[in-house]
Amino acid sequence: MNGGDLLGTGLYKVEGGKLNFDTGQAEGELTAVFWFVGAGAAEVEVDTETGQVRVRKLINAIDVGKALNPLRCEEQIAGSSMMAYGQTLYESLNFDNGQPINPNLSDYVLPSFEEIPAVMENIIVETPHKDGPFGAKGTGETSITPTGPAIANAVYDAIGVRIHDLPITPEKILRALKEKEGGNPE
Amino acid sequence: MNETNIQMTVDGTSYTLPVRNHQTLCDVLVKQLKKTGPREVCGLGICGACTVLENGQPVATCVQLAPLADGTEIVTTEGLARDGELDPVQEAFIETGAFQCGYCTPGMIMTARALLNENPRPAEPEIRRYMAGNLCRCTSYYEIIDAILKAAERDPASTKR
Repeated sequence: MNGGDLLGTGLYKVEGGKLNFDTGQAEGELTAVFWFVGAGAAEVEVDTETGQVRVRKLINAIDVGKALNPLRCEEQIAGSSMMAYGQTLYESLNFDNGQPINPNLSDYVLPSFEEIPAVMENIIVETPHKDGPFGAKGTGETSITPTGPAIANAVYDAIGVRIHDLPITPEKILRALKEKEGGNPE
Repeated sequence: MNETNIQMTVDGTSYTLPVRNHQTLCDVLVKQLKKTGPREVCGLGICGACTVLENGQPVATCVQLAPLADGTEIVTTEGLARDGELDPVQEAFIETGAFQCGYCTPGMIMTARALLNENPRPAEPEIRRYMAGNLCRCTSYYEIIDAILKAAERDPASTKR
């Protein structure tokens, strides 16, 4: 078999995607090719002595359009949820005068096997997407969105304080708890 | 005096080769012996992607100096298969789909192999504790746990290495 260049060109025009900037409304039916639609839920345990949050259960239900490879879909959901999980509880890139002061994996902590929730459930929801192949659409980032709010709301439900910036560290929880009790957070 | 001759067995083949004294074992395996299993990621011994078995023990090769590997026997993922048959851990990873991008996979497999050598029937908490030194960013963590449990089921003690 002779080698050769494999060349091809293709053109795809997205339906919709036009916004009227004066009204903020779409011109036509669609403002985007597709929307990420999904939901998340978290069950947490908060140690009020140490401020430590442990997520016992994390659930995602994500619309993938059509699951062409269900195992990979579930893993994509798990992966993006776990990135959000890291950002929600652990990951914080800190700067001192513009210089990152934790630019390595020992100081910038990612969730490992020991930090991940005890149970994680990923539910695939299929609502065929009319423009996608066989009804499929992107699913790689959908569960980034619900994971943080689900954990933050679960923390609020558990101890009655809201943490408004991520990551939700034990220090922030202890300060917020002290403030709630009327004490000096310092 | 900035070079040392070392002898080591890597995946069943014996090598005698000069290494620079400041060179890491990972560097020697990847650049001199052209192994694709160990991967240097953090360079700090934290993420586990460079893990190989050195005399049966899991070692982060990115923080081990190559001269210290003199006289050792090293197994990378490439040397795990026996007689063309994949190791039960490798089989289980494939069946369970325990990876996405696959970058952490060789390190995961070597650490899992070491775990099963030490404890052929680990429970889930033990797996989590033992594997905590291997990070995965696309997070197939749960599938990896499933794969190790699966490998443990069909891993007779005779395949210990």
